[in-house]
Amino acid sequence: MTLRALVLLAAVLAAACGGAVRYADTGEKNLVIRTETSSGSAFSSVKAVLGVHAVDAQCKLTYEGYVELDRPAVQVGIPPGRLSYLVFEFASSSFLGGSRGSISQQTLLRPRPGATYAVRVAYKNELYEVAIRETPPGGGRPRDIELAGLSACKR
Amino acid sequence: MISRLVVLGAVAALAAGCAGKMPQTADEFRQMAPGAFMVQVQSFEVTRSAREIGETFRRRAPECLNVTIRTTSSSPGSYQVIDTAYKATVIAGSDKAELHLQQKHLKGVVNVYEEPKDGHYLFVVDATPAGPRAAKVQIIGPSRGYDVVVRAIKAWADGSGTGCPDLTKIG
Repeated sequence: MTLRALVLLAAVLAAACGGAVRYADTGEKNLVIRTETSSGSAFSSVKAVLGVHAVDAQCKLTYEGYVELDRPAVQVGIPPGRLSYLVFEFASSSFLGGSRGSISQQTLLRPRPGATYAVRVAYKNELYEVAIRETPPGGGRPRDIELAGLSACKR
Repeated sequence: MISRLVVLGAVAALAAGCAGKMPQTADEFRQMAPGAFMVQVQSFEVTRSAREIGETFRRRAPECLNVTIRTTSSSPGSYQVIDTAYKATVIAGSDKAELHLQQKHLKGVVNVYEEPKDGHYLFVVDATPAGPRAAKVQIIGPSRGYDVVVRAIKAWADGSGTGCPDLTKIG
């Protein structure tokens, strides 16, 4: 119990120090994110994280938190009908040489009420990809969603 | 770290060329690159038209390559931060496709020569017709340190993949 409390405290402190908060994720789980990461080396690792931002009418972002994509499939609820900005970050670190870096892929997404979204997040052999497929309400034919940067919000 | 500095030095040497001048256009890069130190010119054929390749470049290059990267490295007694901006330009027509990749160091590297506004030319890729549904692809770029970029561009050209290269892994 004490150990569990210490681990929890450490996690809270780490999150607080980093200024990052976990995404509350209280809504209906309309995104299923399937993640596959491999650094291709025993001496390095890659971690995938999703950052969620709300986007207002002026295209201003409000950070809502992060979701660790540390399992093969993670379900997330992104508010339907509202514009969100999703940042998929791949953070790599090398155990030897102390180098680290991160690269991200972002997209605007306004989930349709009742629709579900299959998101494929992959990092392999130093190549990464994020692909989103929407299944319409009622289970119609799925379609690929083009990723759109923040500049698309202002158009 | 040493390999990164070697590659940066090589890129600077390439960019400067013998005349001590950095290529200011893709065409100047094409002319100066062959035979230059640590520059590789690769050519191969793919069973896709130059138009299809151009469409893939147009779809993938801005999304994958127009990024700014921060890399940090540390070792006993040293800590270095390098900010680098990349800019991709795609010129795609019915019978030719071009992809240019420029690299601009914003922090952590001092330039020796005057470079173009969006940075020095790192890669220039040309796809030209080589048959009814085939194209010849030529990639001019650094001979080492940028393997992940070459792999991504080759996959876009031959249609085998659409992944983005992790630009934190280059150099």
